[in-house]
Parts: sequence; structure tokens; C-alpha cells
Amino acid sequence: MHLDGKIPGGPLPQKWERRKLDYALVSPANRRKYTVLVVGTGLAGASAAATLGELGYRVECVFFHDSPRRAHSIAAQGGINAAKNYQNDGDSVQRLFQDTIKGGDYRAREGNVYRLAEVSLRIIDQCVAQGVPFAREYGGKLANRSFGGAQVSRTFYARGQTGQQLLLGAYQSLLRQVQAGTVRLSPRTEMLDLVVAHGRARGIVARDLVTGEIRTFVADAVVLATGGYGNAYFLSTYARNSNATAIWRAHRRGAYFANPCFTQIHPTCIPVSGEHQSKLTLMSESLRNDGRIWVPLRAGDKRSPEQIPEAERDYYLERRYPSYGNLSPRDVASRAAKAVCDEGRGVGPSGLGVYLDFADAIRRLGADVITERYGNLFDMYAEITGEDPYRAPMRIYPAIHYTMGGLWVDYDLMSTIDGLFVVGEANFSDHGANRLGASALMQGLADGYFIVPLAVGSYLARAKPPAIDGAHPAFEEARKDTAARIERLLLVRGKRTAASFHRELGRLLWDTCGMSRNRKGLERALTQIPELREKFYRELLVPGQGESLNRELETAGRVADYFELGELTCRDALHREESCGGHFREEYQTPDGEALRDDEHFAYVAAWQWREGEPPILHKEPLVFEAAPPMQRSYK
Amino acid sequence: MRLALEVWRQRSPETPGRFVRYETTEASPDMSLLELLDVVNEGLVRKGEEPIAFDSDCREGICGTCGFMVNGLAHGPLQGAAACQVYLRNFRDGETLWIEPFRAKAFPLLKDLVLNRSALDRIIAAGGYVTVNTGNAPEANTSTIRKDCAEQAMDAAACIACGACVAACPNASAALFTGAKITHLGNLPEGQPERGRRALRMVRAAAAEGFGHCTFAGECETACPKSIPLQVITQMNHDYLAARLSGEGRAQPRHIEPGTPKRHR
Amino acid sequence: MAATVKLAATSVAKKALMAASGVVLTAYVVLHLAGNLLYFAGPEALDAYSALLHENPALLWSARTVLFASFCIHVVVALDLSMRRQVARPISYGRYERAASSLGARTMLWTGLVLLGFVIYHVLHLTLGLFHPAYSPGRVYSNVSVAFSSIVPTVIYVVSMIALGMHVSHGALAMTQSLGLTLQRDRLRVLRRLAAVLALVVAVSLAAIPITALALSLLRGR
Repeated sequence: MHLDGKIPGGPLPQKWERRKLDYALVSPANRRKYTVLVVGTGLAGASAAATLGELGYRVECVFFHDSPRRAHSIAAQGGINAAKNYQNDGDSVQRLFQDTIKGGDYRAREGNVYRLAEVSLRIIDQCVAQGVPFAREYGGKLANRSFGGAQVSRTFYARGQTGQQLLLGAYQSLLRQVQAGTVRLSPRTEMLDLVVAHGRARGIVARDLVTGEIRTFVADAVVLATGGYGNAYFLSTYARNSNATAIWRAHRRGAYFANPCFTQIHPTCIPVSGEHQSKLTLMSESLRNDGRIWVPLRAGDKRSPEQIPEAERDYYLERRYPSYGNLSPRDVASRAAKAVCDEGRGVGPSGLGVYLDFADAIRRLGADVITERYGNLFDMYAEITGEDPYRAPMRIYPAIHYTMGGLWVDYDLMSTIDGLFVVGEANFSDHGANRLGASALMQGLADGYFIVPLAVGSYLARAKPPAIDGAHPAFEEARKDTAARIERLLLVRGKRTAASFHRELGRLLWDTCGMSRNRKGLERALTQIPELREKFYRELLVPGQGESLNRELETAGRVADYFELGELTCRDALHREESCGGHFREEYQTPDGEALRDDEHFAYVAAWQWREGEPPILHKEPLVFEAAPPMQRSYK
Repeated sequence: MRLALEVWRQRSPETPGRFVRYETTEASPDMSLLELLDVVNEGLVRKGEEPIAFDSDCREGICGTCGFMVNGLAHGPLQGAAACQVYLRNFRDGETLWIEPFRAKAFPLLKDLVLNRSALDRIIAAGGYVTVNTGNAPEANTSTIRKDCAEQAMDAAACIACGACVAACPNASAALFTGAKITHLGNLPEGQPERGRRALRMVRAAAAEGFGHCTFAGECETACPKSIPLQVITQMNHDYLAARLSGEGRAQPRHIEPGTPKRHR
Repeated sequence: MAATVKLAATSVAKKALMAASGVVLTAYVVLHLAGNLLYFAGPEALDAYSALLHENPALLWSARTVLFASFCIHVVVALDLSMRRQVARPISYGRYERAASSLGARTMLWTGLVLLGFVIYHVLHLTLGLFHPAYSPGRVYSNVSVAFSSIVPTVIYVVSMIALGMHVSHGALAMTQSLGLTLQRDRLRVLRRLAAVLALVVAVSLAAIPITALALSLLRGR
């Protein structure tokens, strides 16, 4: 099958305008005849559901949390980018576009990224109008900061809780539609399968997490906004319940999965403290503005940090990347941390950590200034580790944080299944091989407020999906499949918890397909994952029944899907014989250890098609760069 | 560390619940309270018993999913922390921890420590928003907001809707929660047109959900993991009473019955 | 009238009623205290003050009506709200700790009930002269001196004034907030202290009268 991104013709700045004109419209009176199903209520899902409701469609909103406001977008700290150029520092839509394309290491579509930069302007307008309390200057105007190594100040923020405030804005709009009767919420309901009838996505099968009832939802179009799949790695900065089941089930029903190996590792997380640990906590990247990162010069140096004299410290980021230094992009900083730890120079009890030292900054600016800038982060660190970062340097280590890969979508955010739209982190579209800081919130809201509502409308107007009901054989089949999968998990009655398998799979993925990858490791993973999966179906233990609230059953179902997803991730990483962004293959690096991209052979989107019992088929969507010709990313 | 847990176990809303004691020696000071429950649960599962059901998600104190009473205090002993942010180093070796769900009529219990807190969503749905459709916004920097107003709005907007304020309140009042949203939006120019209507509708919604009244004892502020100030309640009272006394929402288009003769003075 | 019914429906409105009646009652307590302090100025002053109050019966009775109405609203709404506590939390906690409440806040209902009993007793005792060995209308000073020459009424009054102090310490603060007096954090702290000072002044001064009377009578008796 030929993969068509359906990018409109014409010069970049006119593409989105043209496409909006091409879109067919549904008249206001006819909109309420269509049901749109939105799965997930993070930034992308809540904004899409609210906007579709405002337009007058009937919206069914399904999510596994107890309230739409719990989705993990809430945890984003840093901010949201927009090319407003309020600071008069030379920012523009074109520049945000270029930065994002370059930051993504030339593995994203120009058309999509340009549209993202364009729409960013209206996102801020929308959020301010909703009452999002962005930071202000004394004059009452919006404040900005520079973020994630950007050379302009284009990040809007609400203290360290930008994601929370943006999500609450979308959530409030969503609940306004609930009150107005256009949106119906189904909380604590987890999507377990997609229903495809006559080649179109027509609904989902979901489990009521309280009663265990298997329910079907019928719709004329389905929007998946279910987030990324980073929890496959077990330890990550994702929320505990974030999972890949919705997108994985859609993939198995025919939606191609694009670039699964593009995973992002965030450099400033609090290191693992023990076996019991349930998740990793991210600390805002802004810490790198004033903190200096170092490890001992000598491997195996077990002295405490204050006993190590200046001359015996290696400020490796400053040494290797003199122009960006401690502010090098996430992928670069993470890899450098892994490299020094691999050399045996890591710090802390596990040896997996590097120092982030504020001693110089405190000397230069005074403790008060540091408290003002980072007080809450310092408190958070002290709370979790029990150590005082004002006295001893913090210890940090990279952790899985975001997945750039996801379901393949065209310019209209529609997957390879007609009528199945995918928005936010769940799709692969805009970040290429590496996402820049403060861009995830921008993409989620661009998709949800401004893009998908128009695209869905046009799809409905053109396709005019015929009426269907839950008794259709496709629904019956999906319901039976789902019930059988649940039954299978409950009936193993072995002796190991789902979490113990998850931990094992996660460690394997982290070791072989984490910050750096090589052929040998990936091949090992590809043999070990199927073995582990078999063991899972032999030794799993899920207590209780399916007909009640059963957290172990929920976890087991998610872990079952991680095996297959993990395998695909490794397969993708193995096939991509180059290094780019978050994907670093040890075989493909420059003599001084930098990522070596291969634009001649790998400037494409790798979209994988699922086949039952057989290896997946790879489809390639070539990437063409006209406005932003590829360059070597250098931060030296 | 050795810790004992007395955990409220209740199979379903209909069946009676009780405290069940669990002894654990696997606790370590670097473990969070929720991780301790994870460890206890893994042990229970291995024995084929049903694990303790509790809600949690982000585990960094921002999503508001987790929360229960620990030794009679909502979210445990620390100021400004949700249950997921409480580490065991804050307890004494050998201590017994009493873990009990948040209790309020408006928060029906589903299982063990898991509650239905949709009542809070319904309070927001009643009026906790600015009515503005997507696309209907002016350029962002046309409105000017005094920095301290923006800061106060943000203080209130930090609410995570965990329900600890209700749980800690002797009257199970949702005044801090409701007041927080009213104060957040009421401090911003965008929130002004609906200010009175919002206060009326949200306060009525909270009453309809069965939350109690506020006696200004201050338990909510202390329990709140975001330390939302008590003043938001005063703001709510102020906006509600002002709207009530000014006859907010009573203005109707003047209707004249067809055929009514002119009135001669 | 429909509006009033609706107004009374939410707890915010009920608390506003509590607060408004609380303002009247607090103002009355302060005025009453100011008048009563004339006790220390001697019999002539106190009896003259009493005569002054009775000079204009219309004024007296309208004041009494407002006071009585406020009192009734305060008591009825308080009982209504306190019964709703149970409704809002039908299952009580196994363990429950009040970390932030002041002593006054914790005991509001109990001190309120004590005061309800006290007010009834006080009116019967010193306004109508029941349970009083030698009541004589208009001769306030002597009525007070006789009334507190025995231990039991003195103890009842002193205990009640302690209850009044506790009640006012929280009530004087809470009523401003129930009426929506928005204040910055530091101002609120000042108000909290002012309420405590007011409570202390009221309780100490009002308790001082029966204690003094008892002491004088004991001295005289010796």
C-alpha cells in the first residue's frame, strides 16, 4: 500500500489555508446527527471533545480515569511554545518551524510542523480567553521564558504547572459541553478494542472498570487521544495508568504504527532508589539553566562530592559541547550521562546518576535567588530523596519521558483506518525523532482545538457513514475477542504478578532499546521478548474476577500488549540503521561519538502494518525537505 | 523498617467494611506510602488474595487521583503533600498506620479506598468555566492583568480536586474546592461577565451534591496538598451574596402580551 | 418570599444568616457589657442607666424584638446546620484528627448550647426575677448583689462567660468571612487576633461582675 500523507500542495505558509478551504462542511443542523467518539481526556482529547461539542456534534467521551482532569498532561511542568514574538527577539512562525524540524532531526513532515507553528499563535489566545493564569509581567502582559535550549523566549508558562493549567482550561470547556448536553462522559471505562466495520472505524469495545461490564460504543468517527507508550519501559515519568492498549488494539485492527523506536529520554529525573520504585519523577529542565553537570574524573571514585576537588571533576557537557554546555538538547544530554556512567564514573549508590551542582550558582547569585527560581523543585527533590540540594549536589539520571512514535496519521490526522483519527502523543506526527521542550502541549492543543474538529467534520461530510448499531457482527466479534482475552488472563492462575513481568520487560527494553541501541542487543531482545511473553501466559496470576473492580486484571491486560509493542519497537530500532534524535545506534556515530544520520537511506517514516502470527510489514513514507534542508545537528 | 497497616477493606458499596491489619518488614525509608501499598499488594497477590484497591496515577502530587486518611489526617502528616508524596521516613519504625477512605456522602465508596468523586466534576460543570468557544478568542495580549491578581488566580487554580478538603472538613464541605475555582476565574478579566452567575450556580450545585457547610475552622487549608488559602471561601461567599443581593440572573426580556392597550398616565 | 426560601436553600446563604444575626448579637453583647460595667461605678450609676433604658418603651421593645429575632434565627439555623453534618458524612471516621481548628471552632456547638441555656436562665433570673430571693424591678445594683451572694449562680455565670468567650473567639472571625469580607492573608491574621482579644475582654469583664459581687458579699458576711 502506498502511504499518502495527503499534504496539500503550494508553498508551506499556504498549505493549511488551502486544506481548510478544501474541507467539506456539515451544516449546523446536521451535526447533531453524527456521533464522534473521543477516547482520552488529556490536552488533545479534552480540547477535541470540547470543540466538537461546541460545533454541535454528539460526542461520547471515554476515559479510564475517574475525572477527565486526571490525564497525565496535567503533569507537564515547563511550558508551551508559541511564535508570538512578544519579546521582539526575532521569533516567527518560520523560525519555530525550523527549530522544530531541526530539533526533530529531520524526521518529521514539513507540512505538519509548519501548521503546528502557525496554529501555536491561536492556542495562546484561546487559553488566555479561557482563564488560564499564565505568568505575567508587572505591566500585566504575558511573560515568556526561554526553554529547552531555544535561542528565543517563546515559552508561555504558569509557574511549574503549565500542563495542569492548560488541561484545566480544556477540561472546563469540556464540562461546559457536558452541561450543555453535547458531550457525554464515560469515566472509569477503558478502551480494549477498536471496531472496524466495512473498512471504517465505527466504535470501540471498553470495560467498565468498576463493574467489569464489557460495553460497546457506536460512533460515526473515532478520535484516539490516549497518549504515548513509554510505560512499556516500566520505569518512566509517565503516570502509573498511562498505557498503550488503545493504540495497540487499533494497530492490530489495521492502523499502521509509525517510528515506534523514537522514544525520548529526559535527562533530569531523580535516580532510582530501589527495587520497590514505582515511577520516576521528572524535574524541570529549567534546572539546567543554572546547575552544572559533572561526574568524578576517575572511574570508581566513591568519595562524597564535597571531597572531590575541582581538578578531579569532569564537567562533561561543558567540555564536549562548549557552546550549548549544560543546555544541550535532551537526547544529547541523556546520552552523555549514560556514556559517563557506562565508564564507571556514575554517582550515587547504584552508580546510575550524575551530579547537578548548584554550588557555583548559589555563590554567584545567592541562595535567595536560587530559591526564587527553583525553590519548588529543590523541595520536591528533598522530599523524595531526603537530601538537601542546597548543601549537596543533586543526583539526576535520564528516564523515558515521551514517545515521538505512534499511530501513523496523514495531514488530516486520520490513520490508515478510515474514520480513525489520532491526536496528541498517540500519533507520530510532528516531533520527528526528538521533541523539543514545551512542544508537546503545543501539539496536543493544536490537534485538539484547531485541526481534528475540522478534519472530522470533513470526513463525516464526505463519507456520510451509514447508520449502524451495536448488534452488527463487527461489534459482536470485537466484544467476544475482548471477553476471551480477559478470560485468558484470569485463567492462567500461575504464581507471578503482572507487575513482576512488566518490570522484567521494562529492564530488557531499557537495556537494549533505551538511550543507545546496537544490533546485538536488539536481536537479543527480539528473541527474549517472545519467550517472556510465553512465560507470562504460563505463570501469570490475576486474583479475583473480571466482574468487579480488579486492578491486577487491568495491569495484566496492559502488560500483555507491551510485549507485542516492545517487540515492534526493537524491530523498528533494528531496521533503522542510522542514529537520529532519540534513536542512537552505537554502530552509527561520528568519530567523536555524535549521532550519524543517514538521510540518503532513512529519510522516511517507518510505518508498520500488523499481521497475526507473522512479522509486520514495513511501509515507507518518504520525507521531503524543501524549506528546511537537512543539516547535521550540532550543539558544540 | 517495620510498619503495621490498619487498612479499611470493603468489597463493594453494599457490603460492610472493616479495618484489616497487615504487618510489613519490607518498608524502607525511601519508599513512598503508595509504594508500600504496592509492596503489600504484591504480597497479597502472591498469596492469591485480593489486593487493596486504591487510586493513584501520576505519583508526583499533581493529578489528584490518590488520597486517603492516614492516622486521621487527609493525605497523611505532611503539609502541602498528597499521599503519593509522603515518604516512609516521615514515620517512626514500628508505627501503626491507620488508612481509611475519604468519607462524605457526596463521595460514594466503590471498593476499599476507591471513591467516586464525580460530584466535584458536576460542580465545575455547573459554572466553573469561561464561556468561550474555540476560535472565539481575541489576541492574547489585549487583556492586561495585574501581576498580583494573576498570582492570586494561580494560587487558587492550583487545586487538584483530590477531595482532601472535603475529607478533612468536620462538615464534609466542598467550600475550599468550590471557592478555589470561583476565585481563580473571578480574579481574571476574562472571568468577570459570568462571575455572579458562576458563584450562584456552583454554590447551588455543591449543595445539591450533598456537601456540608463551612464553619471556617480551617481544616481544609491544612489538608490541601496545594495549600490553597482559606480566603477563597470568603471570596466565594462574597461573590455568591453579591450576586444574590443584586438579583443576578433575574433580568428577563420584557414581554408584552399582544393586544395590550397603551397605558395612559 | 420565594427568594428568601431559595436564599435559605444553600449553606452559604444559611451561614450568611448565622453571621448577620451573629453581628447583631455580638454588638448587643458589647453594648450590654458597656452598660454593665457601670456596676463598678456604684448603685446610683447602674440604676440610673437602667432607668434610662426604660424611659422609651417603644425603643426598648423594638430593640428587644430585633434581638430576639436574631437570637432565634441564630439558634434555629445553627441547629439546622449541625444536623446536616451527619447527612453530609453519614459514616464517621475510625480515626479523625482536627489539625487546624481552634478551641473555639471545635466547641462552637457546645458553647452555643451552653449559651442558649444561659440566656434563658439569665432572662428569667435578672430580667423577670425568677429564682431570685429578693428581686425588685429597677433596683439593678441590689438585684445583682443579692443574686451573686451565693456560689451556685456565680459559678453558672462564670462558666457561661467562659463559653461566651470561646464562642465569640471563633464567631467574631467566622461571621466576617461568612459575609464575604475578603482580606489579604496578613489582615486576616490581624482579624483573628482582634476576635481573640474581643472574646477575652468580653468574657473577663462580664465574669468580673458576679465574681466581684460574690467577693463583696463574702467580705461583708465575714
